[in-house]
Amino acid sequence: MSKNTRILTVDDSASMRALLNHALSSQGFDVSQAEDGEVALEWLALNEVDVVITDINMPRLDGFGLIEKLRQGNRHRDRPILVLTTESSEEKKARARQAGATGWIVKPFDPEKLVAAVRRVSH
Amino acid sequence: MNHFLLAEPPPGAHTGDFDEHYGVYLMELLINEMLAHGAAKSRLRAHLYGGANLNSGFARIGTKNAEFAKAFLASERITVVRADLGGTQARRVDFRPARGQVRCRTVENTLAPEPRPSTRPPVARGDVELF
Repeated sequence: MSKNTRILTVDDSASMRALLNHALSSQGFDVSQAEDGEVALEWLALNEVDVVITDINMPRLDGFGLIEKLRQGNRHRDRPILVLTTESSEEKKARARQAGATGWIVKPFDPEKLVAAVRRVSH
Repeated sequence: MNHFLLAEPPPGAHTGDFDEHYGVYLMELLINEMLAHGAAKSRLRAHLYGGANLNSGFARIGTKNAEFAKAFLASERITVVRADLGGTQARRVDFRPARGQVRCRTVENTLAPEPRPSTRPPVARGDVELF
């Protein structure tokens, strides 16, 4: 019996969280949600996850900071982390890549492409 | 200020459907820029004007726009200071961002721009790049 892929989405917009939850839950993923990087770190300290999808612009701890912190420890060093953002600059993309992101997805997202990307990085 | 026409449905959807993905995206662009300029989300206030169904022969795009805007602001916990929505008449809005002053008048529908499909963002929709 295969277990559902567990995803943590990190986004400060409640509307975006609702869209993500719908897009991913309807495809059988086990979705948890955090509203910024700090909440995500607290949640990840206590829970297991297969893929993290994070926004960049967030209060308290942004997406870059979250990725850097996760890559510093052993536990999430190889965890797939997808960035999902309205940012389109090459400089920000390069920064995410340098911080250790696994992939970069531009909003507004296409649910099919997002799900395909999650399946690809979680195998 | 965000002005959506939002008549363009997502690919494969029925004509007249509201593209919520796109509305949420536009609002995120606006809010991110405001936060980058020093705004705090808890201090944000909103005014809503429009949402009229100008052409009775079309799908009720105006009503859908207004419903989206109200639902979005409620879920983001952004207070609506003033709203003037609905009806069948075009509106003209003058906004002074520095003072937060707004004047809204109804005008002849012939003064409203023709609805046209909104253009997609310059980047491809939902582009995925794995590193």
